[in-house]
Amino acid sequence: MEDAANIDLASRQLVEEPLALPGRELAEELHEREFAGLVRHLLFQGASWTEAQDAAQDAFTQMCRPGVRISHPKAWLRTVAWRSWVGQQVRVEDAYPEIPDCEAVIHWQCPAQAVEIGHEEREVIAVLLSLPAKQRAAMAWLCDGFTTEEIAREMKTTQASVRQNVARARAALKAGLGLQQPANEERPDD
Amino acid sequence: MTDVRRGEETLTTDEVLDSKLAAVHRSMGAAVHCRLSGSDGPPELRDPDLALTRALTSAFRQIGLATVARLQPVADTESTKPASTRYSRPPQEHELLSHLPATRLKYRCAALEAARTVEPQELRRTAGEAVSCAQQLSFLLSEGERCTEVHGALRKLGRRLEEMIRLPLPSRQRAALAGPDYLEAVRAHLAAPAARIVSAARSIRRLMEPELLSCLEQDDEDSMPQAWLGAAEVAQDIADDLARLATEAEQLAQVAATVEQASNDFCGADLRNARLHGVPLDGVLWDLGTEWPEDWERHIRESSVPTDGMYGVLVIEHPTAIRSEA
Repeated sequence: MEDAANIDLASRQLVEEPLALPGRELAEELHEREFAGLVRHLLFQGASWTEAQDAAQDAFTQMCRPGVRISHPKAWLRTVAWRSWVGQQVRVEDAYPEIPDCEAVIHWQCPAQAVEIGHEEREVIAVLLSLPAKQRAAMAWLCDGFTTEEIAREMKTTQASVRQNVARARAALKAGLGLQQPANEERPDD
Repeated sequence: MTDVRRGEETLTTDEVLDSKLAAVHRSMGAAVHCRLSGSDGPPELRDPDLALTRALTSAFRQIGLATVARLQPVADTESTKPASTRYSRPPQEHELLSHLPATRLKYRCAALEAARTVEPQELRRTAGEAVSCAQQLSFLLSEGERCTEVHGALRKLGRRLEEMIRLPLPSRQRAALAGPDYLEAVRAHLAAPAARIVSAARSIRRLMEPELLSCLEQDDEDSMPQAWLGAAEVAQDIADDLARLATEAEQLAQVAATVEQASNDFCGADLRNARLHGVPLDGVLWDLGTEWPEDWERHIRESSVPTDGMYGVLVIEHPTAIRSEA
């Protein structure tokens, strides 16, 4: 599973070069390698362990549909898995005019809260999951190493909007983690 | 942009945040990977045909279960339970596991003490030795071996029977005074097989003393071979009875093991409302599905270590630290 080496937006390169390939071939190639990363992406957005696995599996199933050709498979998987997860939250009888703002819940049974995660990291996750859905999504894409251009394309928004969501998310994270110092406090090197 | 001093190094808050996010991303990736590896890796790739087949199979099975449930008599008092639990009644011993986890934890110490009272492992060993003694005795008698060896085997068998007759039975009277259903159930489950063992051991001793000994005390040399053959038959009967008793001892050991499981295994249990003050927690098994009281969770996590051979299961090892801090 690939990890984000750099969270900095400015120095990023495109994760995927556009090259449309048959979905079935891509699924066979990526299933083992990308499944865990896809699950993590959804956990970052607030899915439970079971929801994340179901949605990831559903995304790969959809990738196998006959005639599907995909040019950005990693981004495609994340988008389709996210839709699948959102779909799990919507009851059939509810007519939503817009995509619901899925509430992120801290699931104790989920790896995001597992014993493998230290206290400090759990604190970061807790603050992350308290952010609004769009900010969570932007951070999840960002942590997976995608550029603003790619994030904007997949979230069907503008790059400026992505940057704004990221900036707000970072400000909220800093505040939530106590990284913001009072404005009148002297800088250490002053 | 504000700065944060960390040790000798001065980092900007953005750098600190970036490093925290990267660490979380890495750790969560590792946790997901471990969890998936622990369940034999990612699920198989399902193309739409396979997914449809699975969905149809699942629907077919669910409809079958629902149909069977609907056809059951309405008088079924458990009709609100899921079909899977309604039609597969757990074994008798496992009824202990159906008690509330918080109750099992509260009376953990007393339940374990009751299980240890009957000394299941020791009893199983004694019963096994008694069977061997009786078989040896039967062999010696049928072979017409010397009296000293026969009497030696006889004494050994007598000692084993005495040990089983002295088996301490869990006190049900104390439980009745204490009142809790769970402890009463634990003691009842243990007491029934233990009482059967004591009773069987007494019967065997009664068979041994008048019948076997009278055969062996024959002084008349002419009738001695016949008497010893009779004694060999009695010894064989005793061996058969002891084999049944050994089976009872095995069952008692299983009940004791179930009590230990009910007292130690809290994997997936909801203990949010459990009162943990004063409860000995050392040896308690738990996993990620276990829900602890909020103010205890951190201390329990810090006092636990992974178990050997049970993936994802932790055992509490340093309860002193928990008691003093919580």
